Amino acid sequence: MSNVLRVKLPLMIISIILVVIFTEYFLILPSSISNFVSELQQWIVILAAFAIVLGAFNLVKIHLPKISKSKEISDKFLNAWLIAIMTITIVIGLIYGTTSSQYTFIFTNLLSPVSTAVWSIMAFYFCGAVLRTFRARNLESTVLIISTFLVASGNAPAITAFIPWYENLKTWIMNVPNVSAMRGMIIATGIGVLFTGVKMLLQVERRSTVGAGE
Amino acid sequence: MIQSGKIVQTMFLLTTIATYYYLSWLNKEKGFVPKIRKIAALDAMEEAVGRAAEMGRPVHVSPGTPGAAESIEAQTIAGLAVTSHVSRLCARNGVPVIATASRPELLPVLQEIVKEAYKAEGVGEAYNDENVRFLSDNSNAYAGGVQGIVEREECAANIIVGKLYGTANVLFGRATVAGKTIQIGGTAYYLVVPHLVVTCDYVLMGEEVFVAEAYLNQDPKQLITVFAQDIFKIISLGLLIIGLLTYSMGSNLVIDFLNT
Repeated sequence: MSNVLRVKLPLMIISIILVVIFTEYFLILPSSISNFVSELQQWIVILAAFAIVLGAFNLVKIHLPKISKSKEISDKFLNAWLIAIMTITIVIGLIYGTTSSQYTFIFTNLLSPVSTAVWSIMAFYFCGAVLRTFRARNLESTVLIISTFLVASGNAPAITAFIPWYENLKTWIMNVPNVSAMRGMIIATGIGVLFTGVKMLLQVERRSTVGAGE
Repeated sequence: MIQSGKIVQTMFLLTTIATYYYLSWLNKEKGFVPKIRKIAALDAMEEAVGRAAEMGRPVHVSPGTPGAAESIEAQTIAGLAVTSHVSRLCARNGVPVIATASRPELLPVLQEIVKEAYKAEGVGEAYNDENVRFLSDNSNAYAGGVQGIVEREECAANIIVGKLYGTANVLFGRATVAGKTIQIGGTAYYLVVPHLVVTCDYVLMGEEVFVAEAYLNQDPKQLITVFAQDIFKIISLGLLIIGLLTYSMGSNLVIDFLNT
């Protein structure tokens, strides 16, 4: 019985929903069925709304005990800070609404600067990663280094001012080998996505749905 | 009645299903099992978990950072399969696995997948619910959270396969600079692949992400879908070349055919 509930039923539901969605996409059907499919696609929003409560509980469950358990004072403070900020944001959102000036204040004065800081850190990580990676170990990495050098220096006005054709070389690298490689990847990815759908429809894809313990 | 402009698409879908059934028949009747070339990033997962076992450190794993409208999409599904595999390897070797979710709706799926992996290895009691965590649905906050976990908990491996965006650099960046963690990344999003190439030790790029489950399980049913995928890739390439030639000669034959 548990195998039916845990394995067969979820796979069956996925297959039925996929058949309904595929059919609605390809065939001309009565508007009632099309409306049902649109409704079905909206369900993800409802599921996500329920799940956010679950996510918040998970954060509290993990970080609240850490306030007392942590040995270092900085850890205690950071866990308490997370819980406090989360509670304040939820309370303000519930009382004043998410478009209120109080809620917007938290967003623009707390979240945005921190997010910008994360993005700015990326530049330093990128330099470190490039220094570590860009070694001419084989033909591929040598081509990568040469093309990176050409494109990066092609963006420098000082070089293109003295060598005008250099910018055309950079544009050629970006528009011809780069775009053709990207398009090849897009086509292969598209086929991969199609086959993921087909695998789920035919119940071949099971790990992500019912886990490893089948 | 098929919608106008979708006849070829419908035929394409039906042909993929027919090809799968034909190859399954070949497998059953003649024992046909396709082989997959070596994929270093997938082979390295076992090595990464083995190293974590030797060092007595945990492994961080995640199915990527999908956006709100795509929380359970093809790449995330592939990422969940990788999460399941890594969790199973960790359970087998007694390595704690820390799985993080960037979308709240992914959390229960992730909890179930990790728990099932532990049960499958016969160590269900070793599963720790606190090691499956939701961090944030803000990609910057999530990236910061992952970076913190990898550094504070001294993870021996950081494995993230799924939909990734610009913050991929931050997800892997700190540990790349420190150089103490084996990092395996994978995405089919072509703009993020260069980020992974410079920050990760092993990379799954493009369609490799979608064949991960078949490669890791070596299940004939899954391997058949990979073979069918390759057949359709060759067909697409053929159409591309014919389209290029006919279009160069002033004909819209292939474009009109695909829009039928």
